[in-house]
Amino acid sequence: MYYYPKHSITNALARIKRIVRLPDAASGGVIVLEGQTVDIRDRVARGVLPSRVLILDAAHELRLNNPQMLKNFLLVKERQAVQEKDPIAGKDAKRGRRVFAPANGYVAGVDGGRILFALLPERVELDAGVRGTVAEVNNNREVVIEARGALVQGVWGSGKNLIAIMRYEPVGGILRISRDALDTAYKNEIVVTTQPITAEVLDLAEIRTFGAIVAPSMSAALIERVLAGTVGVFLTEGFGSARMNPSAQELLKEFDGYQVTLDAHLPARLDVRRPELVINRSGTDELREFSPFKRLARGDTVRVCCAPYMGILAKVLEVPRAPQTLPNGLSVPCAKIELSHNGNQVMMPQHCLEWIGA
Amino acid sequence: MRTGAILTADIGNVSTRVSIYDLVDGEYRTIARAQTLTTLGLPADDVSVGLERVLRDLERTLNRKLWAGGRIIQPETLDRDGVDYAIITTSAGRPLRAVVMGLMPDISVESALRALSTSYVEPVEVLTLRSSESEEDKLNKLLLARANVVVLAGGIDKGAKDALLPTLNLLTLALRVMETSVRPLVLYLGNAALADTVSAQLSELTEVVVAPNVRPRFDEEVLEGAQPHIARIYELAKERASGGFMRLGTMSETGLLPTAQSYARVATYFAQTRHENVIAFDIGSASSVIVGVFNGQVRTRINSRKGMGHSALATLDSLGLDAIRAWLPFNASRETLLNYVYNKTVRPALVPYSVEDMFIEHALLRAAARDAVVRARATWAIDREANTLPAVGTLLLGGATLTQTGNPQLTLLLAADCLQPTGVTRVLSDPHGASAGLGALAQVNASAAVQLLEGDALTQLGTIVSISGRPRPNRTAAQLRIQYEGERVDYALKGGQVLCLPLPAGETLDVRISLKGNLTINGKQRLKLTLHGGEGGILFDGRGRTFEAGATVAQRAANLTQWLHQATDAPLIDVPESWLAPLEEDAPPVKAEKPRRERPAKPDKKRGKAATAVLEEDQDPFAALPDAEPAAPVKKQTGPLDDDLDELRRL
Repeated sequence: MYYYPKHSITNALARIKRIVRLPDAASGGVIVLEGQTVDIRDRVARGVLPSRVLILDAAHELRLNNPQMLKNFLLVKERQAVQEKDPIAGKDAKRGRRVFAPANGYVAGVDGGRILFALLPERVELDAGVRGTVAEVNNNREVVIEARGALVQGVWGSGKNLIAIMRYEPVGGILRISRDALDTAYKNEIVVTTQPITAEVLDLAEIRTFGAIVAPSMSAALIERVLAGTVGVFLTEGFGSARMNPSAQELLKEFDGYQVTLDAHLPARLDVRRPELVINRSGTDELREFSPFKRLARGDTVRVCCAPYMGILAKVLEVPRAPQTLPNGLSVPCAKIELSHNGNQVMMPQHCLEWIGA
Repeated sequence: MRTGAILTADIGNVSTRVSIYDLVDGEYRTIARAQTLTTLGLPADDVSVGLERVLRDLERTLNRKLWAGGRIIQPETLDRDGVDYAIITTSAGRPLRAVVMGLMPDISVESALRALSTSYVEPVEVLTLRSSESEEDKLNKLLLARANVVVLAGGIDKGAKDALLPTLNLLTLALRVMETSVRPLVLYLGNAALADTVSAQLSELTEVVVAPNVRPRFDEEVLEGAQPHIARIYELAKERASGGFMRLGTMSETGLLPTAQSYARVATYFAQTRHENVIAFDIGSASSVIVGVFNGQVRTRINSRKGMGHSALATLDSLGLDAIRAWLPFNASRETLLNYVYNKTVRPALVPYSVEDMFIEHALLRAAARDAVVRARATWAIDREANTLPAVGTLLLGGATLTQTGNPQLTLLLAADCLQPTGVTRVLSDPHGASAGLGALAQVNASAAVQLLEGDALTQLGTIVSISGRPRPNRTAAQLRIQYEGERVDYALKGGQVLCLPLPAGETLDVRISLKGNLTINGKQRLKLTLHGGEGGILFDGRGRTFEAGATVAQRAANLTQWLHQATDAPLIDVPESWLAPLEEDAPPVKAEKPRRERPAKPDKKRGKAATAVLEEDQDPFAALPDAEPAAPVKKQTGPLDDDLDELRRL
């Protein structure tokens, strides 16, 4: 049987698809049309998350003999936003017995003689995140945007979205950057390092107020610190001490100084969205399209994503039909690969190989 | 009834697995199987793409068209393209969030929760008549729970209707306040007399599914009637979600069914036909399911937060680092374990490549399975005071970590470690996810499902013979007299050790067992058994019940490597010193005296000597068996143990 490897694209000019979806709990909808061109910061969907509801005994407040009459005494329409202390029910908005809004919010409904008053809900506004065209609008809750540009798909992000200038680390590594807090170079920029993130790197990033760090890996023990901090983190390889794969290194170096869109999405359990770094580019030369029907085949360039070779690029030499026995005794479908950094040939589980589209 | 080909597809969070069955000599048999990665997320973001990939591959293998116009070809054509039945099950995607509303927390609500535990539903709030919250608080809990489904239960059939009305009114109020697009589905499992009222009051606001009352009388709980309706709710919720589930549902004969429900059906089938206790255990990437059928009572328990991939981190969080370390032959730092688990979470399909990673993977599996058994046994119809399980006749295993090791003896060993069955247990493995489809197929073509379950749909992995009690380490726990094809071999099984004999599926071997001290198998000390083979053969487990891998890292290093060697015949792993070195985080302050390292025992040499000594001092243990054959001279074990094992394996 064929193996269709997972895609983890690192490509200088790719057709990029990006899904923007309202959270399940949010009411609202999409505010763009199919075919519409959108820019990075354009809003494409808007909604609100459910908020707390207060039950107000309005009929009692207004001394109504028949609670069912309350609807006739409403001074605002249902779902109309009101400010705290605005009158919402009564014979007259300016005098007499009235019911006032207990907070900013809106009247969500009337139940007999009671007003259901919803507090102002949290708004959800979703940006396009890339410059492109709206390819699909699904169920008025999801937008698929197609764009062109350089794309690096990562494996983990700290939850920060950023549009900023990307800077490649100086020769000698990121720690060669001075810790002088008054130096404004790199401030709010996205700094790329090819070495794993350490606590020292995080210290430096905080002192120099980097916008984010793009790095190959870091210890999972640093996650808590990263999430509590202000500097975004985007990992290209995984957790541990893997170095950045050469393909990503070259691409990120090529675009040193460009404005990039960094979606350092923090993966939740069962989440299908990937952290991505996108550099919008025009042109159609060598535009790569990625098909989910791409099979693993001899000659493919792949990235190894498990220890001890995590982050190393390799060329597929052979895809044996029968399962192969690994050094640990497991027998699983494998591919024979040649590691790019030393030319060694190893049999690697197919599930440990990602197609990078290079 | 249609008699053409059958296709079953199980869409998991990581893998999409398809089997094709057709009539061969009048009986249904497996004719092809394939699997691929599930295609949730870009570039496809449509689970049907994965299905299409597999079916296109199978078309080439079978020289038969299965997929056209974006659908499975149904029914089978005269050219033998397509299939007559297509059954699709799924466990992919997020579990449903549910709010359970009812009258009595320990009666109707408890029954509703039990009914929900058979599907991928996560109860996030429980609201009962007895809870002391105000109406406003209850309303807000309903609104803020972000539920996909509200389950309403309560009242006995023909009982008073009034008690449930305030709860129903509260739900109505909440639905009216919510925007139409985010209103949850409603599943009604309460007093049948109120079903029409519930439908009339709520169906204008949302979709309502009415199921038979789970508590028709105070002293009677009926969960079976609710199952198809829970499955329907699951399907409706999946259809609302993106990812192509709606299209799949229209192709499936039974609609889109939750994978776990089928496990219960298959386990029940084996329990009823074999008249024995059955456990089915499947641990996937995101969730795990354990079904216990004890004394005819079926109990299913799904944990949507325990798995080996997407839920690896949640599993570690829930079990704690020490539970994982308890199954590791080396000192693993918090950082090492976190790195492994986070990498599994972001790349759930990863296969461990190094020996250390394999041990971590299997430690997570063993700890999660032990936890599942401990939690589930509280609901099983067994003596809950006893430390061990009663005899388990059949084990059914699912999930890639457990069943796709590519090494059947290892899978057999893992099954014994994970579930620690007692007695004589036949083990079935389901690496292709067939159980999910066959359990569902039983609804529409029961005879085909039976033929396949009894035929080749599941892998006969072998038999585990488990000694109960606490055997003394390295002292004879049982004398085995093995009879196979006219030859007879005696073997002394030591406490704390395992013996794995190869015996192909379809073959049997006779063995007489005499146990030492107060050790037993099925409550007996002397037994004559006919054991069934399988891909992994027969595993005699002399570690007692229940057992741990060892209290110290040195003991675990010795035990785990030895068990692996004994079960799989792989070379004994030479434990590197670095495995036993104290961790930096545990290390004493600088200049403190260096702690003594415990070295693992050198098991092969010791075992050889011990085996010889015990056989010399023991009497012939079979003489007292009523149907014992004439005593033959006991074979002296003069060589190392491995020689004897080789001889046994050559039988």
